[in-house]
Amino acid sequence: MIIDCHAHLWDGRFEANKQEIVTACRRYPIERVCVSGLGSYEPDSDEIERLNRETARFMAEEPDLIRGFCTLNPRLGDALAQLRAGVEDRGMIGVKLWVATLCDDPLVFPLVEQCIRYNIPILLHAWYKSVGQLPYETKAQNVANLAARYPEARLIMAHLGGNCQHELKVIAPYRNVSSDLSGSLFRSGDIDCAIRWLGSERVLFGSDMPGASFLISYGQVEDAALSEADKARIYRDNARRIIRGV
Amino acid sequence: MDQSERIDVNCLWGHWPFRHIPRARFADLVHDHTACGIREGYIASLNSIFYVDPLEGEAELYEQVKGSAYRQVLTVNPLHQACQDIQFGIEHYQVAAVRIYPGYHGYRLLDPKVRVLLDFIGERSLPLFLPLRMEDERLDYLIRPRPVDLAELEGFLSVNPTRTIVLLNVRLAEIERLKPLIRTGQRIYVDTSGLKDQLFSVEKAVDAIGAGHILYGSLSPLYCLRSTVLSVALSALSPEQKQAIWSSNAAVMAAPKQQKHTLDHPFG
Repeated sequence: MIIDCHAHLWDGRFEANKQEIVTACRRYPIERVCVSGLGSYEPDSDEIERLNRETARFMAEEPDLIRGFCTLNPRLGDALAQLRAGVEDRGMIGVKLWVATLCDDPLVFPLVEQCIRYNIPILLHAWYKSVGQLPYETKAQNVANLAARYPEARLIMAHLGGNCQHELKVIAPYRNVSSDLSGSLFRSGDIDCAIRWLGSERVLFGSDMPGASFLISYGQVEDAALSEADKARIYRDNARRIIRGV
Repeated sequence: MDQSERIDVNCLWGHWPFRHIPRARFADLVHDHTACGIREGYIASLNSIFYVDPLEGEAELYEQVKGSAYRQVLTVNPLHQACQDIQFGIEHYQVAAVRIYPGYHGYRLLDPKVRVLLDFIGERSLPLFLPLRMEDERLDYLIRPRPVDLAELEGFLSVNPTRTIVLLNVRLAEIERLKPLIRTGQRIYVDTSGLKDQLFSVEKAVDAIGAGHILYGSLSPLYCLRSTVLSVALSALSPEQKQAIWSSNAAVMAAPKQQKHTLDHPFG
């Protein structure tokens, strides 16, 4: 069974997204899904509240399947309060940062420090793109900078950084950074690349569903030349170690 | 695993210049295909995309696949002696289809030379394979092929409704936009290698264009074979729809046009 550390509810499509995720859990070998809400690139406080409220509602509706990550916009003055509400009131077990700021922006630091106190991981969207890079879209170097500043923080760089051959070697020296394979890429060799740079202990399974197919991520792991022990680490053991309460 | 016959219409052999591809030998492909229940394939040369003379790549590919259950798909550049290359490929490599790369080779689909090519392969009952992309555009390195222009593709499909055209690595959003033309076309297909951007992408593609217009294609070994295999095998489609995608539609695609009415599949 698989722990999927990276899935979303999209603003305005909450019910349809929930239905699809639950259907996927019934159809495929999924034990647990870590869900966070996403909407606009720079969400305001109302949107953040809505995203986290819907995520919490999903957690309550499907307590055996769904765990929540708290979505935050570090630019907002109430980001720390939203974090406290997410973790202390709603029982969320991680934080999700998307593209409102680079992850090594000083605006992020108080949130990281609070996550360290809570002992929860931070899921960082990261993509190195040859076209279409967003102005505040984190790359591996930003993750490395944050990891160096906060070695006690638990950071998950999403999507293997997008272009894994370019990005994974940047975070490799930072043992507090792991990476998930979520997203719509399923290039052969990417899992091999991840194992080469990070080892099987620092790679987590993620799908990015419903905006990507769970099965392509599943097929990536099944295609890779991995031992059963390595597969078990990627599918669930690493998630259990890194995401407390999953 | 169900015992359906499975054909991969989008597999590759050769060198990809931008990153290491594991298990890139032809023997690896055959082994991995067999493990997934795939016994046949339409295979194209990666080298031929980049060689000045694509026939040099075709000769290399032929040495790999001759005598196997794999049918060679000839890569050509319509701007340079394509019909001559195709005739050579028919005579020497028994090619089963022709593949073009307008984004890499720098021409438009409505270029008159493409029309000449289409007429030439139509007279010889060869399907046209048209990859919309090879890599995700966000990962291109050194070379940035011109992205697919959907308006141009719509124009191309609308003036070629009766030709046999297989669109490779097409995304669900693109299928949604192209679906009136795909459904109208008698023998226009998409393969499964681009169905990745949503949950249940294969099912959604079937909803959009019908199972009769979808072929199983992996883009392996560039992409992970089992990702597309699982996308079909674990889909919620009926056994008949899956069979159509795995192989029945490929049989229709490969058959000369006049036989279509005897082979056509009722699923879409």
